[in-house]
Amino acid sequence: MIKKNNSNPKVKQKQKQQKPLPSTARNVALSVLLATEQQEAYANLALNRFLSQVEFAPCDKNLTTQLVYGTLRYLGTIDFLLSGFIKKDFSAVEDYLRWILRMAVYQMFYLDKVPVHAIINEACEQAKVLGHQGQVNFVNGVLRNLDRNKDKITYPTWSEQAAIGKKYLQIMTSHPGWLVDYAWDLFGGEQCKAFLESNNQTPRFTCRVNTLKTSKADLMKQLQSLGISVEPCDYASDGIVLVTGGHGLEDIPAIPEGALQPQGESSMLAAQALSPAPGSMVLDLCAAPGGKTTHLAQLMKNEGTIIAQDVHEHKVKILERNCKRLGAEIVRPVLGDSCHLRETYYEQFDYCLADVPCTGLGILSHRPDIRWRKDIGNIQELAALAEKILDQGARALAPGGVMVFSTCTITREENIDQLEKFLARHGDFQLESMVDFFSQVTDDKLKNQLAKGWWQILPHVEGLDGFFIARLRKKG
Amino acid sequence: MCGLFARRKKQVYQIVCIGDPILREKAVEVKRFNENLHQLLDDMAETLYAADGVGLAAPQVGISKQVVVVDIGDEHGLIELINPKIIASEGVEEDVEGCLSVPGKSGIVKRAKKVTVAAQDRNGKSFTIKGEDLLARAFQHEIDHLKGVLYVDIMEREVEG
Repeated sequence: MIKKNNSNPKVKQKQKQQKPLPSTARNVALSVLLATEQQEAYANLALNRFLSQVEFAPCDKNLTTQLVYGTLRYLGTIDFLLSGFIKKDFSAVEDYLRWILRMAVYQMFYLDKVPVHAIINEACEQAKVLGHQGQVNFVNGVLRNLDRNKDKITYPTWSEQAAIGKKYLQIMTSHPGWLVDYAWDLFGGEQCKAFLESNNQTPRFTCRVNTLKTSKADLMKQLQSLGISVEPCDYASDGIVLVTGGHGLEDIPAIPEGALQPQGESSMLAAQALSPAPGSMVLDLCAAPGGKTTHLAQLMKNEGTIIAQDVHEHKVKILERNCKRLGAEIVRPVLGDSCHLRETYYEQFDYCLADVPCTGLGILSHRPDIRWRKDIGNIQELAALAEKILDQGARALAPGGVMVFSTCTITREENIDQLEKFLARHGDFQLESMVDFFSQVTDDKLKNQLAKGWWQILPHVEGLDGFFIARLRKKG
Repeated sequence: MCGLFARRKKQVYQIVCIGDPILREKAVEVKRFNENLHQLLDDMAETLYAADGVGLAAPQVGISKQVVVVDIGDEHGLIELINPKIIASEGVEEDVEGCLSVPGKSGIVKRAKKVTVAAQDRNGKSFTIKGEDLLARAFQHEIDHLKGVLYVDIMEREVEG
């Protein structure tokens, strides 16, 4: 749920029967933004759903996506800008008006190709369809006033002094207050700023080459012949970075053919850190949708068995489909709760991947709405869930077996603290060096870190998604 | 001793139960198609009929080799599979399944409805065989044994009886 400015319980919002908006990029984007608030929809899912209902040219699709993600990403800054020009309580404003205004401000301040008068006209048009003339005047008034006075706005300034610096970061990097506080305590001022700013950068588009179907060299050649420039990833052996160069994903035949799998580089590193031997018996505890699972299958050359468990039935189906498309034949998708493993799994597995549920604070650049959907309480909640799953993973391993524990977050509670607590509970486990699985790493400092058996990847340090990866071995 | 007397009587093996590590091993590929293999196949068939089962894999009698016998009581009669592999599968079906190595229990298992298996016969000659419904289920169940996988690992849920 988008929580910002939507917390006033006294305000009962009249749910007006909404007239259909004509299918333009701005109107579809508005519908998606409203759905993120009214139906608590995930932005990416709502976007796909609405886009599938219209026939848009690629440029309109791109604009819709940009409007949705941009507005959500800069929501904190946008609301700051609006707050100076709205006299009444912003949360008391009708929700569709709030999103009309926010999307217009996004375009006025972050896009330079649309003239301001056109943006304001469009916003008024939307208000006219969804509301009444008074609201049209309101939208028009607020936006024109903002445009006239935009050079007089006083922005907060940066300081390493916490009270001032935090205020600056909350508004200028557009993050919820609790997250700014948390990251400040975790990283210190300068690093906190770097982290929050990195969340607003467009992430590189990386893919994993499915070596069950092709080789990295062949696929890179094939993509280059399509005019797509590619380069190998820095750390992931089977990963490549794509500069899509005008091609939409649907134009790359290797993806539906299963030769190429879109996947973040850090996510590839989790499976790489486990690198199970071909022929072994592997348990993947939180497998769906199967990005890491199918990667394990390719590292095992499709020899052996991977029991891939997930707790949600619909996600097991997605996992099945992905395994089929990618030709990961050794994967056995199973519906099951990883907090309560079936006893027949105990001490049966050579390897275990525990890619546990987490707050996802390491991948905020991919999903601009996520930062508004979380709160501080999620950290403890998810750490407690992950602890149960790790204990089950420990039981499932045969003596001498190896477990990789991974998350896509940056909090101590879910990562290093969790790891230390695990080691304290399980005297029969110890950390094991991961250096051998990261042959592309040449930096000595990083090599030393990998030798310790755990790695906290940070977006503002390594330039990759924030992941935590630890490799543990059960004594034989 | 002449051949006639050298031939051992068929024997019934004791079936290994869940918990025995041999059920979790990857069974070894058969390379020699000799008298020992034939004896194993005969004894496994004998064990299968004595236990009133429809399929048996060598690890279930404590021998980690890629050998399977199946007889679901239809016109196929006894099917012997050496080094079997599923090369094609189609459809999905849920049904109740049990296992001689997991006595007294059964569970719902999702399996392919039709499969094609490539294997060798007792003399090493390659062949393929198609199975549907129960036969397909038996093939998949027994071939899983050769990978160290039991139905309880992949069942949807346990059922009574």
